[in-house]
Amino acid sequence: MGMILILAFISGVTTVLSRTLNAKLSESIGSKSSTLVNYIVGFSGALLFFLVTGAKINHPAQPLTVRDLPYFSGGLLGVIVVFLAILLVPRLPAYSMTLLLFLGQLFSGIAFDFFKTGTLSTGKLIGGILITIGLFISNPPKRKSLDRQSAT
Amino acid sequence: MPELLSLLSGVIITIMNGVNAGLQSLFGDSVAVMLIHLVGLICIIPFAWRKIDLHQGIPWYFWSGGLIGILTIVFSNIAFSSLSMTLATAAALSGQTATSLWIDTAGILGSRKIPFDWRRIISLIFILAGTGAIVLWG
Repeated sequence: MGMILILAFISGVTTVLSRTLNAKLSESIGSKSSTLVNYIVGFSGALLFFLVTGAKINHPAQPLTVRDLPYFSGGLLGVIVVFLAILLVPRLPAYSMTLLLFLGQLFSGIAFDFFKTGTLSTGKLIGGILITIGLFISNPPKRKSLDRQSAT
Repeated sequence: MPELLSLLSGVIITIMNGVNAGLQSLFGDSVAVMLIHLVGLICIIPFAWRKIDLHQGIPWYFWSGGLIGILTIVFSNIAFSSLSMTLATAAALSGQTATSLWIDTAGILGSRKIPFDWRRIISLIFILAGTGAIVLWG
């Protein structure tokens, strides 16, 4: 389990690294091109991974219907997320951005769980509030939100 | 405004993870990841199809964001299928937080240097407490 915890930790490292690198690239080639590059390189990597792991295709148990269409929207949502990240990285401290992204995920997760199952996780709610307080504590005062933050 | 957009992005990520999980159960992990990137390509190409000057002296690793993103997906998949969701989330968040603090404190890749001062130390204590609450009672 320790090894798996380390892998999870590393996934967090790579999350931050990839958006930061994409943002750096966008300084030279623009945000849309950087998003495109992310997907060209990412698709190549995904294809490689697919081939290297034995090219396994799971055939769906039932034929696809129009009801399965929403499952294909992840690609579009991912483009929005990647593109937004490229725009936001230069405008926020990395720490703040990490916490804001997490809080967005956490609170929407709590909301979706509530609407789906009617249950409310008090642990997640309390945790979310504590993390929100932590975010407010860390935010440097008197900083105009729209300033780019490059060290030049 | 960037703060609100970041929160919104987090919400979109939740939805995205949900639908992507559905795709993975339909086709298997590795096919799904390919499909997701293919759909992404189809979506972005109409907006971004232009010449990219490859000889600007850009460090090679600036181009690797997409590849590192695949590592994220692979490692997340392994972690979330083996660990409880809250534990995997906590470990991933720890990695993100540690990396973010490093980037801010050291001013990595030209970002604004933000010292790891008392404000951030106290902030971190709240983050740890909050993460603990999620893992223990979430």
